[in-house]
Parts: sequence; structure tokens; C-alpha cells
Amino acid sequence: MRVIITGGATGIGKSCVESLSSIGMNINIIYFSSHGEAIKLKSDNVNIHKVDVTDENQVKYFFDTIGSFDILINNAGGNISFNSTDKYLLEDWNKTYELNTTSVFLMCKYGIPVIKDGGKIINISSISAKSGGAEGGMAYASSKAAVDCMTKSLAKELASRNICVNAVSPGVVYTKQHEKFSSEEYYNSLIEKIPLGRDGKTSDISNLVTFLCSDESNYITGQVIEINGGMLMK
Amino acid sequence: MKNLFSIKDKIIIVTGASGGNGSVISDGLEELGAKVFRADFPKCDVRNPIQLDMLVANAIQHGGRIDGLVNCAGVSYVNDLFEYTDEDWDNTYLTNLKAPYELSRKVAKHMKKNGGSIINMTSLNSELGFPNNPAYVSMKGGLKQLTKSLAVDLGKYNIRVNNLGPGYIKTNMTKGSWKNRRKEIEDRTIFGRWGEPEDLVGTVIFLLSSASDYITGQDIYVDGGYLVKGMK
Repeated sequence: MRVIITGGATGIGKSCVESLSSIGMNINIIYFSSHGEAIKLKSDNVNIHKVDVTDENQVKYFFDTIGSFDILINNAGGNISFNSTDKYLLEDWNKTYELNTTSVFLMCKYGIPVIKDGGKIINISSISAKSGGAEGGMAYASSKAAVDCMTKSLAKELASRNICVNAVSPGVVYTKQHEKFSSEEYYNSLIEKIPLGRDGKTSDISNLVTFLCSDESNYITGQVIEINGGMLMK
Repeated sequence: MKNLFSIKDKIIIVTGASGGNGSVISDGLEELGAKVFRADFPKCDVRNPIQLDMLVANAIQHGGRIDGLVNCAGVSYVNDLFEYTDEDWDNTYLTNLKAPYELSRKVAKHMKKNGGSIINMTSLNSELGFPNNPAYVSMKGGLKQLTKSLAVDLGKYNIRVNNLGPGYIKTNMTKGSWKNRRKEIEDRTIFGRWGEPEDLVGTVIFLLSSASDYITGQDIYVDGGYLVKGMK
């Protein structure tokens, strides 16, 4: 099985790479800023590619050269800034949507013609898509809500080719995003709201991704599966 | 799949184990080395709390602990709303909602030490209205929320509680729909096919295994895209 994963060099993406390569899958990591981390993951069955997933030409070129594949994991994403709406910069709003939403569109636009029938597409969303996100995080939360909806639209569009499209929606996981934006006090206050009493590990998320990559999930499509220790139950 | 998804030697109770879904799920779990305690009607009537006690006691006696519970038992009585009998309403309540509540509490007492995983089999009826079955629609809606209540109360013991909502699966329970609305339902799914009980097994294994250690209080629908599709 041949896998393409965006944002695969760090955090949740890295954990997916480790999990899927350990069961013999062939992985193509797309990274942009994390060259140092990406190079460490390179191995016989893990290749790395520097691609700006918000740039149409780069995404098109990547798929022109990569050949056919089985699984696409749209994991790259992030928050640009937090601010109240009246102070929020349009530039940051657009960047957030490019990074989280447009990137998924572009990866699908150019990936769908070359993904094999019977393949899988997995989008990494966020709890904030349903909760509205942290205060000041409207851009991030709504860009992820768009990903949830795109997942359902794509599931319909690709069902005739037997391609399952699902989203994985993590709650609190300590990754670069929290490192950048969350104080220790705030982070701990989040954990207090979680019934299982702990934050998620990146491996918790990659386990679910691994399941959705397997044949055991072939009748699941168009779903957004929440993985958050019970923090939010729809 | 690697060990992460292992359910080998896990002690699992499955109710409704003689039914279309329950039997295939039980077989699937045993095939992977789990020890399954099957509650099947009429030998074990889940409406009877004493029989639930015996079921739990039997699993503890022979398994030493309980790692998983799959509440799969369910009944469905189709009838016109104005003809719907109290008996059918009560039986649906006792089997589809009260029994999972009672059994989950009884089992969770034994799971407190090591944690565990409880799966409630919900339904498309947990989300949508269907004709001529007020009890089934109501109890499946209730079961969906029971899961969330249990997930909150049992989280501190590392007991996870989730819903698995099957779509239209070819079983004895859906034979009326298969006969009368087969094509309509087929077309309503994204994949253009009914599900088989085998389609559920992977998700049950996933939710029982440590691969899903951070998932609790969630609804996972295995419905070929029935709920999502909505309008064509």
C-alpha cells in the first residue's frame, strides 16, 4: 500500500507515519517547514517531499511525478493567530483557510485522478470544528468545520470508485500548536474538562487513522470520528 | 493488523449473541482469541436483572475479570402508532434501553480496577425518525445518550463507552425492509449496498482494543454513508 501524508514530519502526522510504516506500508511524507524532522524519518519505505500544499503549482507537480497510490492523509494544518474578530487580520484569516481548507481541496483536486479505486482518504479535523474553538480562534475552528463538510461531499463523489473518505477529529493533543499558543495553566484547564482525565497522545490518533486505512473499515464513509477522551460528545 | 488491535485473551460479554449481528460479532471476536461470554435469548433474557447478575457472575468465575461488553440485544415491533401496544412499548424499553443500562452498571463495577470498553449498538433510529415504530426510535435515541452519561461517569475508571450505529444490515430483524424496500435503501446509501454483519466486526474489534484508548462517548456509524447522503 502506498500512502501520501501531508504534515507527516511532526506531531500526529509523524505518529501516523510510524504506525503505518510498521505494518509495511510505503509512505510519502509531504512537509514544508520541518526539514530537520522529516530527514530523520527517511528510510527504505519512507520518502520525503518538500511541497507547499497551499500552492497549486507545487501540488500539481507533486502528483504529476508521484504515480498512483492507495491512501491520502490530509494532516497538514495549523492556526496562524488568535484574536478577537474586530482585530483579526484578513491576511491571517486567509492564511488559516489556505493552510487548513484550500490545502485539502488542492490535494484532492490533483490526488483524486491518480488515487486507486478502493483507496482511502482521511482528513484530520479538530474538535474545534464542532465546539467553535478557543476564544479568538474562529478562523481555525471554521476552517476545520469546512473540512468536516468536504469529507462528506467527497465521500459521495468518490463512492462509485469505492473510495472511503472520513475525517478524524482529535481533541486536546500536545503538539507544536499548543506549544506555540497555550500557556501551561490554560492547557491544564483543558485537561480538567476531559472525562478520561488526560490529553490525547499522538499515537491515540494514529491508531484510529490506521484502522481507517485498513480493510476492516470498508463500510465506513462520510464520517467524522471524534477522538477526545470524552471532552465533546455530539 | 499489529498488536495494538489485539483482543487476544480479552474477556468479553456479548448480548443478543444469537442474533444476526451478535452471532457474527461473537464469532469474529473468538476468531481473534477473545473469550466471549454470549448472552442469547431465551437462555439469558436481558430484561431480567437476575439473569444479568448470573451472566456477569459466570464471566467473572470463568474469566476472572471483564474487559469488554457489547450490548447488542435488541427487539423491534412494527405497528401503526394508534395500534401500538403497551406491551410492545415496554418490551422495547426493557430490552433496548433498560438492559444496557443495568448490564453496563453491573459490568462496570468489575471494570473499575483495570478499565474496559463498553459498546452500545445504536441505530440510524438514534438520529432519524422511522415510521410505525415509536418505541424503537425512542429507545435507540435514549441509548445514544445513555452512552454519553456512562462515558462521563466511568471515565475516571478508564472505562470507555461508545456507540456503534449500524446502517441497514441484512439480518432477521431487517427482513421486512429487505423484502419491501430493498432497492430504496440500497440507493440511499453512498455505497449502493446493504451492510452485512461482517461489516461491523472491524469496528467492534477497534473499539474493544487499546487502539481506541482515547475514544469515549462517541458515535461511530457503519452505514455505508446512509446518514450522510441525505438528498441525492
